[in-house]
Amino acid sequence: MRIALAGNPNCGKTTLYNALTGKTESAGNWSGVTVEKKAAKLKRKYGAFGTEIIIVDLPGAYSITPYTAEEAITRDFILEHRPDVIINIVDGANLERSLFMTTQLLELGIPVVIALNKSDIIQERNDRVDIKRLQAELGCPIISIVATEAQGLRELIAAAVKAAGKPQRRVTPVFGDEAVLERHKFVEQIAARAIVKGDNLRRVWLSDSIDRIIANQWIGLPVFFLVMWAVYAFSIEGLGGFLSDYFNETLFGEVIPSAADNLLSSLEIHPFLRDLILEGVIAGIGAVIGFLPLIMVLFFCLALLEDSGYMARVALVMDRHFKRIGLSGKSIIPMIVGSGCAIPGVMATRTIEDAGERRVTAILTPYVPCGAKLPIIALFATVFFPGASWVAPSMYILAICVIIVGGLLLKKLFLWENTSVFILELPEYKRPSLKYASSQMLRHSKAFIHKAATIILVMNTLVWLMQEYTWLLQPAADQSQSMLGTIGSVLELVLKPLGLRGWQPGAAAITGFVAKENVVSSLAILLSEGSEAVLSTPGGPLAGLFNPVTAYAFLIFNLFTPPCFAAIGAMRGELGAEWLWKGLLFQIGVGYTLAMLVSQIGSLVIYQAPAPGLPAAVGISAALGVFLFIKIKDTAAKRQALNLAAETRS
Amino acid sequence: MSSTIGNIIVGAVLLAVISWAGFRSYRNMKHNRCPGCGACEFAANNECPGHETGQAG
Amino acid sequence: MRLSEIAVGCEGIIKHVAGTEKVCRFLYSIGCYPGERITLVSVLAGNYIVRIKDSRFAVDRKIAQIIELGEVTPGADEPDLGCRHRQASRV
Repeated sequence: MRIALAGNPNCGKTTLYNALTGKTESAGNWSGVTVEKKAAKLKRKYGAFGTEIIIVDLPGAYSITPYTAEEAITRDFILEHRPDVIINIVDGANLERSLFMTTQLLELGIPVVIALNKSDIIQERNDRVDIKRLQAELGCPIISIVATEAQGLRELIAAAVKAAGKPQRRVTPVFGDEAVLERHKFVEQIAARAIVKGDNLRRVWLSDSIDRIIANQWIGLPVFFLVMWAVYAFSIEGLGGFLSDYFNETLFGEVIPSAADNLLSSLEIHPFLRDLILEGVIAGIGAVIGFLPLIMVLFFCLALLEDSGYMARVALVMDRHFKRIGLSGKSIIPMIVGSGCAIPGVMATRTIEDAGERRVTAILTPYVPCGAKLPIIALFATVFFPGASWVAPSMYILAICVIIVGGLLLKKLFLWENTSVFILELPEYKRPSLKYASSQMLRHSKAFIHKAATIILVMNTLVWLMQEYTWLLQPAADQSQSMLGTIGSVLELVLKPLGLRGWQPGAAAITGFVAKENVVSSLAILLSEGSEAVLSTPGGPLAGLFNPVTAYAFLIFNLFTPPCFAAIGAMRGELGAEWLWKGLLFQIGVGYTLAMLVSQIGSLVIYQAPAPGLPAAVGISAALGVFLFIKIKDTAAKRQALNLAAETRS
Repeated sequence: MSSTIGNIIVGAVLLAVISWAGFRSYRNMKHNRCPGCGACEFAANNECPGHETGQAG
Repeated sequence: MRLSEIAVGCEGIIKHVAGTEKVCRFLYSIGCYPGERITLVSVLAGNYIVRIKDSRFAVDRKIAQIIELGEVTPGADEPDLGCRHRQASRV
């Protein structure tokens, strides 16, 4: 039996879904977080009904007449798959508006059960809802629930199962898609009869006062930077960094390797296996897992921030700045989702209606440093900038600058006009739930460990073998003659203008496209030979390859060139093949140029000496400048021609 | 003697773990584009709702 | 009078929404339809914060210009704001 959850954005659908299925999907306190439908089995504790019950969570919508793509998913699913029963989640804090969609759902002929969510807010506001009356007016059962506290869910499921299969009783008139105003009038009348409003003034006033400060046109942006700075500094250099240091230095630096070494020696294991396990698997995975505490702290903080309702205000503040580059506040939603993982971020661009804006957002979203890039940031920050709290936040702020400049460039390079309008619901502020933040933290750490145990483990084995053997499968006398060594040497030529020496950076960067954490684990494997020191110690083995300036440039290169293959796949899904290539070229160009500029200019300014590859860097910059100049002029001419054509037509 | 058995056991375990990991990442990547980042948890149990309709390609 | 022209704290009855069909449909579905009351709560970062029914929305200037209001009155339930005249907030 299939039960679909439908309702307005931010009415608590995903919270209810998580409570019913035991999943931990991200459910932010703002609209547009769920863009794909999700399905899972009902938890057994809500009762056994003899058949398997699947709960389907649909993206939020204000109406089932679609305006955005995610609203279309909701409608198409209901019409095509005809679930056995629809649970319509009605937001107690926005009862009248929610009932608009309810009356639409009632017309589909599928049994509807209403879950009156946030009934605690109704009480708090002293609103009175005559549930009996409402049930009679709508012709379907209504169950009061509080999804965040998992209250009333058992009754809800019982009512849904009871209603399933029977045709929906038709009490309300059928309006169809066109008679929108009549439908609103009808809903107003029902609401007037069944709801008595209490007093809601104080709460609202408080929410508005906070808004006036943090969404202020002058201080809104600095406040956002400050908040992000605090979150990143706390999780990477503060508590998270502190715990990671312990993990890296003690647990994965001494305890586990020496225990494994002892065990393997006592079993008299062959040196090949022993090295593969110690230098490949344990060194590689240990270097990544060591950063787990940092991931946990960061996602805990981000979930708190999201749950409080602040992120919707960020979209509001950024709208103004994004409009200048042809985007809007809508584009900020995928980017914030992308701070967890670029894949759902890129997928969230679907909520954007304007095709040009959607494309540009999908190209720019991977610039936001995702969870997988954090270990790279943290590694380089601890090795080359010990004690400095600005490195990690600077990457985030740099990402915002790259997005703004990149958006401006894309607008100049490609011909498109933004026609989209910005409408965003502002949820009321609430005290963030520690329970939700913990569940998000666990979810991200689970995914992180899962990733380390699958794709990163496989890559580590491969990297170890490839740095140990030559193409003729002979043990390499020198690492640089190994398979990975020769690949890295080719890349060394490409990376030379970035001031990078040695084949190792290129080899590590290339493994990063499978999963970004691999940059860290590959460096750990490549440098574990001939060095006993842990990778993440200041002045450790990494200091032989980079100086602080080139280290920062390498960090930029890894963060701002294209994301991992999985995210590229997501980009392909949203952009199509042609725009994917344009996007990838753009990302490579931006990441490479930025890293080059930082490395060369930084070396000149700080060390008063050019980094290696300066002539090549100058040449590349000049060529790029000429290319951009020609391309921008060309596009400007096309734009003018198009405008002229439009004028003559009109 | 004991070292041969030990080698075989350790080698077999390692091979099993790595091929399991490879299989898992391959399957996740094929079905859902994400090798394990948690973007789609259903990939693991092959119950991603997109499969029915072919939307999550 | 358009929504973009009224003072902060004022409320009005929507007379007409003059956008494309899609934009109108969306505005209708969030409760912004002729005959409904709308309150301009504030203007923040160039966006118009409005209250419609029990929820608040941020809409940009383009949208604020297409919402035509009938009678405009000082907001009844925002006593501390009053119906101040808006001069500086034009962005």
